[in-house]
Amino acid sequence: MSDSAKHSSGRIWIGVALMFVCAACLCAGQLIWKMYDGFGPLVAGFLLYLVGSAAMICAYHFGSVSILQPINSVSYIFSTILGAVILHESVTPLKIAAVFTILVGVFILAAGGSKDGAAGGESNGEAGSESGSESGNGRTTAEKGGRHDR
Amino acid sequence: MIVNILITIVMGWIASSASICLKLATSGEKLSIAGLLRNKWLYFGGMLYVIAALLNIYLLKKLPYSVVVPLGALTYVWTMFLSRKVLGEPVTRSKVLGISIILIGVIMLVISNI
Repeated sequence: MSDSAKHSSGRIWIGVALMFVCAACLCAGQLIWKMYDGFGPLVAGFLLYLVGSAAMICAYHFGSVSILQPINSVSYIFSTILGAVILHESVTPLKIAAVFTILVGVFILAAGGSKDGAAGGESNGEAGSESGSESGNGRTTAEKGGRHDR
Repeated sequence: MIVNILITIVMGWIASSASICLKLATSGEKLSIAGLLRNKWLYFGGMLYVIAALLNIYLLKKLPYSVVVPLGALTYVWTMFLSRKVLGEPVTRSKVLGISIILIGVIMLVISNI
């Protein structure tokens, strides 16, 4: 059974939330590295990276990777906000527009993913049978390539 | 400079492959730490992820932020196609639209920082 068929509606939002956590941790880690020198901050940054990566890995369990990975782009938003608030970087109208644009893209992606319940559903741009057979090929490849201990 | 731009594209492919591997590691009925640690895809994905991250650090020294960041964001596009091929995740309208809008936002952000 394909992942998109299993992960209908609600589940993907757990993945989205975890990707937000990942983005926040990565941004916080980078900020600490940028602001502070020394061993303590280095370790703190690495730990944040570790937690963020763990969140990302868990996130992929809850939905398609092609939907969840781009959600990480909210890290650009967090960086912009952190830069403005903590580093007093300038906030221009273009920056604000950019942040909203990214958010719109993220929402479209996530909302489209939550509709993606049935294989080849209406939210697909492709004809149902075409994406159905592609899912079939993909599933076989995934089973061949991805068979892990169970 | 051209070489470094090509390296940036390749970094995107590596990052995409890493995500696919990590997805393969976590797909399945249940998510358990023990199961994850026994899964070879976790380690393949982890290695690729680290390689991509190191390449990213290297590239940021060689190329301006305004080049590396948008080219890096192209990773989302590579992942969309790679995941269709390997995992059977369909290319839907919402994915294409969402990723396109995200890329536009990223470019806007980069321009605002120049």
